Order: sequence, then C-alpha cells, then structure tokens
Amino acid sequence: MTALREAMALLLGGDADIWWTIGATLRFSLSATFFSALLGVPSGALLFLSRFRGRRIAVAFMNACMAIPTVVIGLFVYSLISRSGPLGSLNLLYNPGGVILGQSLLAFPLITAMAYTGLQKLDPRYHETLLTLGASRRRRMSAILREGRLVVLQALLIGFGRIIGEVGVAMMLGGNIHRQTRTMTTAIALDAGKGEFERALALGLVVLSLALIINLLSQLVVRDA
Amino acid sequence: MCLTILRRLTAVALPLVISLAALTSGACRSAERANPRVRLATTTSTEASGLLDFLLPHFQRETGYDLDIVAVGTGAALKLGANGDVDVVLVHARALEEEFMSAGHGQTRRKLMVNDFIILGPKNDPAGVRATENATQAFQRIAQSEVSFVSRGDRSGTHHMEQSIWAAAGITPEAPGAAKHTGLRFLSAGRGMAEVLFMTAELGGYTIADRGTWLALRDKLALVVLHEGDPDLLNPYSIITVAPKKHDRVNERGAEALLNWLLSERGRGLIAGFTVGGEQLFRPTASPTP
Amino acid sequence: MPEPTLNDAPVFSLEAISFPFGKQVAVSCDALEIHAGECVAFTGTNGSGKTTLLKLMNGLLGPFEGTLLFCGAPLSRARALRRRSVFLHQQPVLFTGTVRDNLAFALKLRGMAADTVAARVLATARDLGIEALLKRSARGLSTGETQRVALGRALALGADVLLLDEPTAAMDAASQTALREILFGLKTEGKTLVVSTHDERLVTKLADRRVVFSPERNAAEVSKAGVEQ
Repeated sequence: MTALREAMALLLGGDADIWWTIGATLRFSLSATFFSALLGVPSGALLFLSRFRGRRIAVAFMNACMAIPTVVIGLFVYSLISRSGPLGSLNLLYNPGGVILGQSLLAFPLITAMAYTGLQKLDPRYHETLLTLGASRRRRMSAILREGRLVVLQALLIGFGRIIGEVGVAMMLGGNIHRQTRTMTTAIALDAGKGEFERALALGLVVLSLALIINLLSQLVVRDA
Repeated sequence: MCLTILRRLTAVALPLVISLAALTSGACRSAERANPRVRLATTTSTEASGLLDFLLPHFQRETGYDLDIVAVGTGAALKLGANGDVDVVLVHARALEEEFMSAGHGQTRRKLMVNDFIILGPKNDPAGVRATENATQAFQRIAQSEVSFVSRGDRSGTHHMEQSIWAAAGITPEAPGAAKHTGLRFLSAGRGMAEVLFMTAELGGYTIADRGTWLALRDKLALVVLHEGDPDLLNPYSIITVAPKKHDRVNERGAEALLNWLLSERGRGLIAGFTVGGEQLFRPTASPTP
Repeated sequence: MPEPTLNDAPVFSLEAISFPFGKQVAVSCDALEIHAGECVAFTGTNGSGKTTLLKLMNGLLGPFEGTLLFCGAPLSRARALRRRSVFLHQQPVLFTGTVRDNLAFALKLRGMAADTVAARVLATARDLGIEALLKRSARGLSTGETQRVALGRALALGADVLLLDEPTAAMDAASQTALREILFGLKTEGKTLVVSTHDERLVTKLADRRVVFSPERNAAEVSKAGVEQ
C-alpha cells in the first residue's frame, strides 16, 4: 500500500519524467490511431460495401492479422527501417516516426476488422437505400460511414487502446530512449527492471485508468449505436 | 535432479514474482531444515555471459544444492535480496553494494572476480576515441563531437560505471541542454546490454559495454573496440549472502555453500577457465576479502 | 417527367424466377410482365415472399434462377437505368441531417448544380406536402412523414418506377388516406407502381392488377389473378 501511495504522490507531485512519458505516449498513440484509421476505416468500409470474390478471405486475413504479436510487427518494421533496410535513409528507427509507423501497422488490421464488423451490424436498410438510389461506391462509403460514425468511433477507441497498451513495437522501434521515444509501457518495463516499483506502478495506474476509460467509452458508444 | 534456471525473467513479470513470493512466504517456513534450493539473483549481463550456465552443473554435482538463477537489472537484483526473495546476490556495482550492506540486508560480502568494460564505436571513429589515453578522455572527446552515445540508462552496473566516467570527465550528459553546446546526441535507452549494442551499431554511435556481452555478439555488430585496458574500466563482481535474521525463509546454509564453493580453489579455477570466443572473460580475485 | 422507355419492352419482365434461401425457395414466379404506367399490387400473407420479390426486381438480392428483365435488359446491365427504379422499405430509413438534406442527397447523386437542387427540393416537397418539414431533423418524424420524405427522396431522383413495400402499414388513418392520395396522384402522372400491401383500400384505389402470393412455406405461387375491380 505504501508503494501505491508513493505512486500517487509521484503522479500528483508532477514528476516531470513521468508526465513527459504520459504526454509522449498520448502523442504517439493518437498519431498512430489517426494514420491507422486513415487507411483502416476506408478499408473496412470497402470490405463491407464490395461483393468481390475473395472478400471472405480478406476478412479472415484481417482477423488473423489482429493476432500477430506486437514484437513480430516490430521485427518486420525494424527490417524495413533499419540502416540496411529499404527505408533506412528515412531515419525512422529510434525516433518517434518509427514508433508511430509500427503502431499504425499494428492497429490497421484491428481498425479495419472492427469497422467492417461494426458496419455489418448497422441497419441493413441504410445500405439498401443507398443501393436503390443508385449511389456510387464513393458516395455509399461516405454516407455509410456517416451513418455508422459511432461504429467508426468505437473502432478508433479500440485501436487506440491496443496501441497505448502495447510494448513490443515501442520497445523495438523506439528503443525506450529517455525523453525521446520512451512510452508508458516501455518505461514500466524499465522501472520494474530497476526495482523502482513506485514509478512503474504510477505509470501502470495511468495505463489502467486509460484502458478503463476507453472501454467504458466504447461501451457507451455501442449502446448508443 | 531437477535443474531450474529462471531464464531472463522479463522485467514486466518481475513484480508479479515478487508479490507471489510474498504471498506464499508464510507457507514454506517448514522447509528450512534441509532446503536443497539456493536462489541467486544476478544481473542480465552476468547471465548473458554464460558463466553461470558453465558453473551450475559443477556446483550442483559437487555440493548437492539446486541453484535457481534470477537474472534482472542490478537495482532489481539487490531489491530481491533486500526483500529476502533470494538467498545470494551476485552483482557489480560497488556503491550500491555498500549501501546494501550498511542497510543490513547482506550477511557476507566477498570480491569474487573481475572483468572489464570496453568503449565501442564505429570503425571510422569520428570522435577520435582511439587516440585517447584513458576512459575519461575518451568520454570528453565523445561529448565534444556530433555523434550519438547510447547509455544503458537502467541503473545497471554498466550504467553506474558509465556515470562514474562522465562524472570524472566533468560532464553531465543527461542535463537538459547539455547537448546544445557540444552536438552530442545522448540517448538514455533504458535497455539491456545486447539491445544497447544493437542500437549503437544501428545509429553508428558510441557506447560502453562489458566484455562478455561484446564477445558474445561481436560477429553481429558493426562496431569496434576503441578503448580497453584502462584500470578505471575494471568491473569487480561481489558475491553477497542475504542476511537471514530478517527473513526466516532465507536458505542460509545453501547461500554459504555457494559462497564458499565459488571462492574455493575449485570454483576460482573454473571461473578462470571459462572462455568466450577463445578469450578468458573473468579473472578470479586473488585474495577474496572485501 | 418520366423519360421515354428505351423501347416498347415492358418495365419488368419475369420468367421462371426462383430465388433460393438455403435449401428452401424464398420466392418463385413463373411469369409476370409489368408495363409502363401500370400499378400492380402484391398481396398475400406475411412471409409469402412479397418483399423478397420486390427486392429481387430492384437488384438488391441475388443471385437467382430464371430471367428478369428491366426495360428489356438484364438487371446487371441495366445500371444506367437503375435510378429510374427505386425500392422503398416498409419503414424507410432517412439519413442523418435535415429533411432538406435527405431530398438533396438524391439530387446530388445526379450531379445537379446547387441552385437547381434547391429548386427541385422545394418543388418535390410541395408536391408531397412536406414543405413545412424541410428544416426539421430527419430523425423524430412520424411514420407517415418519414414515408413521405422517403418517397420525395426517390422522386427527386427522377425515379418513375416505384417498388413500395407496405407503404401504408403502421401509420394512423389520416396519414394512410393522405399517402393513398399521393400514390394515386403519382399513378395519374404515369409512374409505374409495384406495391406490396395488406391495405385493401389501397388495392381498390390504385391497382390495375393483383398478384397473390401463396402461403406455402416461402415458395410463392404467383397467379396472374385478376383485376379486382
């Protein structure tokens, strides 16, 4: 219990390193969610709107991708952005850009699949109405995303939650560099290793609260949708 | 005979282990009489060197004790000792060890062996470290150049060694704005030795490492040894048995057996005979007194 | 307003249609022709396949066996004609926004300029008596109002073939009467109407012919059975 009290004191006392780490984590996670959604939401909508051969395979593939361990994604992106990799000249490794790239890829299949399954639960009359009015696919996509905006919001929340809680990508691509790429989860790993459990606990509390808030929000969203 | 090694517990899992140990502590008091298990906490770099894997079967055969090894950071290893979750601690961070002893956590502390640190960097050595005379000077050169330096930043023994060299050089690289004057990109990675070595190679920067990890990985790294042999870079290892009075469950006899065996002619002979890539890694201390 | 048909082919021409649903037949139809300007009523018990056939005729369901021609062309190739024919749900859904947004939505699909859109929206709203609703949110309208706005959305598109699924169901008597008048007006304008309904007064007022769906499972025997009046 003393550890918990000390953890709270660190948070409330405005420990600069801890708050920097929280800020950076939010920055990385929000950016990654944004880029991931930019690609994932239209992909999910396309899967929903199109009736092409192999759509089932594509959906199954996306679902399978959700289960890829974060370190595998990290490893894959590492080989791309390492000095000897094809994107080495972009200087992304051990920089925020690398973390954001990796986390975007991590959340992409999740957001795609969530958007797809969410839209499927939407009242089918919306899509039928768009079809009967002869709307183009582009029009249908924008209209269906507008009607399914809560579904999209939920997909974003879940993607964000996945990103904020992951450690593999942030560690491998960011390198856990103090005040540059250190995120809450990598800092927890470090502080626990150093035996500084109060610091780890302080960040753990923040991650836990965020996870709770995100889950509550996404459940509220579902109820409204 | 059961042989258990708790391989490189991930740091995240550690608090769990500790709390579990605390929960079950009341239940296992009765096993004290002839407890055949000795728990040793040591640093990841020690574990990674392979020395313990090499010594373990000999120790078990010759003494009849089982040895459980928990490999974590130096800070966490000492914390495990202070909590009485392990019986013996094998670390290399003098200041922290003395703190540990004066806090009454340790029973016996003996110098066991020495290995050394080396300064690594890119082959073309833009900072000109190769030409320096000692580690302090090497760090000053690095600080004055536009290069990256990757620090362990995890309060490990290696990190403490690095910090003492920065202090001797009169530089505080972590200080905000310190890099502005010099151009140094100081990266506090907060990761293990192997990860830091890979990061350094990837960034074409400099770092300080223990020789053991370097020898184990050098074939995979685009780095070269730029500075070595400095007496300041010696890395003395201590073996400390945990004080049993505070913790009934500490295996006092087992801890003593491990300490005595390691310091015996036999143990020291084995340590001296341990090689990585054909090179001797550890030099047993001539007179095992603190 | 209705564009001239491409040829003299009937608007709908169905032959030996059978639409499977799992192992059962959801709806089947031996032969049916509907000509421009006609009003055909689909009647029969619930679950006899009326809605399914309407959706098939609008290309919302498939694939099926048999031949279904829309203005002489298979549905899949009749995409250019698609906007001439609109299906309306029993309880239509409106898009988020105002009633005006919903009417304009259809016109924007046709790529119409903004000022023409405004004029057409107003004209359509006047025709249907929903002028006062234009600024209202599309959510929270009554069933009758929603039905009329949905109808307006289809008409604004320029559709001259309307496939209506139980248009007067679930609304009060006054709304029913008003809607029957509107549909009657559309018929006199020359629109082609296919209406699935239980509302006998609607059949009496509107229908030229009646198609009865048998209750045998989902398999529907469609008879060309007669004009009631």
